Amino acid sequence: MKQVEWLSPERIIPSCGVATTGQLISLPDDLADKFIAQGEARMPVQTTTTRTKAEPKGGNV
Amino acid sequence: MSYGMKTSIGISFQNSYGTALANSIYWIPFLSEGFAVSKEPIVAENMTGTFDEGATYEGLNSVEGTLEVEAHPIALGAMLKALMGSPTTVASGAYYTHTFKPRTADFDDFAAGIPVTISKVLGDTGSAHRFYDMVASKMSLSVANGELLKASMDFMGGKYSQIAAPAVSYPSGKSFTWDVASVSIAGVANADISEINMELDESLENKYTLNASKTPSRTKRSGRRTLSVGGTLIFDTQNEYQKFLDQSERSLVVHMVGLANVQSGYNELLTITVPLFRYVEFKPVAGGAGKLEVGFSGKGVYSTTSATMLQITLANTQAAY
Repeated sequence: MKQVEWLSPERIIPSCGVATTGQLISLPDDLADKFIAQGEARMPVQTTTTRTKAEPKGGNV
Repeated sequence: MSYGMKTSIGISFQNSYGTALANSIYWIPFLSEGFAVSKEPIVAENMTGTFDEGATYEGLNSVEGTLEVEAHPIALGAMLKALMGSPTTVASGAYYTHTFKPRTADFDDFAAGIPVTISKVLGDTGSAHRFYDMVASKMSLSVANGELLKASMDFMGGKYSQIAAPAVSYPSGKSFTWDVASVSIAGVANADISEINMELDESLENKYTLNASKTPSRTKRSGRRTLSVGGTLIFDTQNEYQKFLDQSERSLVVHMVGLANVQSGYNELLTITVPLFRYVEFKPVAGGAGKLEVGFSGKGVYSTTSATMLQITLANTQAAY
C-alpha cells in the first residue's frame, strides 16, 4: 500500500472508497502509481524539522 | 473471468484531432456501451479460374458506439460538452451553473465537435481499449414516471489502440429521479405529461480520404441539426391537441432539481429549454378501455430570438468542464 494525497475533486475509487481533495489515502501500489501518473494524486509532501540546539539527554542535570 | 459490471468508460477532451489524451478523464457511470472497432472486408472481384471468392483485404476501419447512462449530474456535463462544446459557467461559491448550447461552429476542419478519447477498461481482462478522434453525433434525454433520468449518446470516429488500463475514479453524487421533474409549456406548468424524451442529432458522418490510412480522416456534418421531442400525455383536456391543430410554436421547459444539496438553498439542477416547440404528430385515439393517453411527437425549431433551438443548464459542484 502507498499513501498519496488526492488532488482531484471528490471521487469514488472502486473498491477503495471516497477520496476528497487534499485527503491522504492509502491505495495499492500500482493504483497509486497510476493516479500519480494521471495527475490525480501525488506523494504526500514531506515536512522536515531542523534541530538547532542539542536536546537534554536526561540523567545528570 | 470478468464481468460487465467491472467495466469502466471514461472520456477525455482532446486538444486537437489526431492526438489521444491520456489524462483528465471523466469516468461515466453507465448502463451499456457499444464501442468496438469495425473492419469492413474488401473481397477481390477478379476472375481467376475458380468458383471460390477472391482474396480478402482489410477495408475501412471505423468505431461507432452508443453510451447509455442513468444521468449523473457531473458526468452528464461531460457528455453535454462532447456534443455541444464548452459551456458558459457562472460560479457562486462552490455552486457552478453551466449553460450549454448547440455549437455554432465546428471544432476544426477535421471534427465537427470536440474530438474525444474514450477509454474502456474491461474489468480484469488486461489491456484497456482506447478509441480516439471520436465525435459525439447524437444525444437523447428521457425521463418517465417511476424512473431515473436517462441519457444516451452516439459517438463516431475510428482510431483505436490498446493501452495499459488507467486508474478509475467516479464522481460522487446522486442521479435525477422522475419525481424532481416538472414540465412547463409556454410558461405554464403542465402536469399531464407522463413521459418525455428529446433527441439532438448533429447529423455527422465519417469521411475517408486518400491519406495512407484505413481510419476516417474527419468526422463532419452530412446534414442539418435536428431536435426531436416525444412523449406521452394524459388526455384530460383538448388544450394541447388544439395547439397541434394550430401548429403553434411555444417554449417547452423541463426542469429537474437534484437530490443533492450543494450549499444552503442550492441543489443540483438540470433545466432543458426548447425556445420553440411544435407538435408534429398528436393523435388522440381510444386504443382500449383505459385512461385516454396520447403519444405525441414534435420538434424544436430554431429561435432567432434565442439564437438556438435548445439550451441546457446544469448546476453542480464541478468547477469547469
